[in-house]
Amino acid sequence: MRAQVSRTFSQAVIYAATAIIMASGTIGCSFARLTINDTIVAADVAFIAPGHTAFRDIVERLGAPDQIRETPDGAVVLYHFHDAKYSRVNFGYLLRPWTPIQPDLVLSTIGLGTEVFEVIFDENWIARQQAFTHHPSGKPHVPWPF
Amino acid sequence: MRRLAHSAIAVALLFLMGCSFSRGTLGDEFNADQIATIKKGETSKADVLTVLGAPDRVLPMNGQELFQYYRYDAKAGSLLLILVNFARLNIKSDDLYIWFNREGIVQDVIFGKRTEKLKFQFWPFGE
Repeated sequence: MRAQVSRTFSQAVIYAATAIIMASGTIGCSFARLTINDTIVAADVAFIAPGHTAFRDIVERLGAPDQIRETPDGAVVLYHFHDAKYSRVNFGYLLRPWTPIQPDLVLSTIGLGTEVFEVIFDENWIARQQAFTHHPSGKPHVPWPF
Repeated sequence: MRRLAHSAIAVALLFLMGCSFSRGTLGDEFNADQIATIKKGETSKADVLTVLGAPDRVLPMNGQELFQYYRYDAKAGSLLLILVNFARLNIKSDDLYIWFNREGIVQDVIFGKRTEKLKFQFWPFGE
């Protein structure tokens, strides 16, 4: 039941972002952004020393994780963060006052930067490994799709 | 200088069609007093269920049990001008984890509150 709620929320977020993008599309030019949690960069996690850093030390610096999973040797902790950028220009919008039709010449881009930071712990909750997923980071707001 | 600022605001308002602020939440806000009642080595699983209700996730963790409670908060802002729109949607979560030992007594509690730093923004550029 709660898992369904969680999935529903994820879908709601996607629908909300889509609604914002679609609504902003009625204007000549629009720039939108969706961020989920704060971005974590390598410098933020440089303090983690495999074999030494405890789970609680990481929580004190990064906060509580989004997910914890059990593994045969310990646990995996995941921190999710997202940064999506959308930009759109409708050059046809500028011609509308002077033409009987409503021409569209739309150029748009969307860059979905999805990242996960993972830390693997041993059975004593001491960090064994850490890594970022290798998804591309969000593109800048440049509505040039070519 | 003040006249220039007033002129800039007047011009900006001329192009302003509207603005919007929206908010969405999933789950009730965590009550710090309720969390404070959960004591390591004392509070039982039944007590936790009474205070906080059923968890959002129950995770097996090396023979122990882990309860996860979460809450999401989303704030969206839009600035609608005649030719240009700016919009931004920010989402953050609060997470509470409670570990139980094999006897069903609380072994550890971890709470992270990210939503207190959540802001309404419409400017999509920069950080």
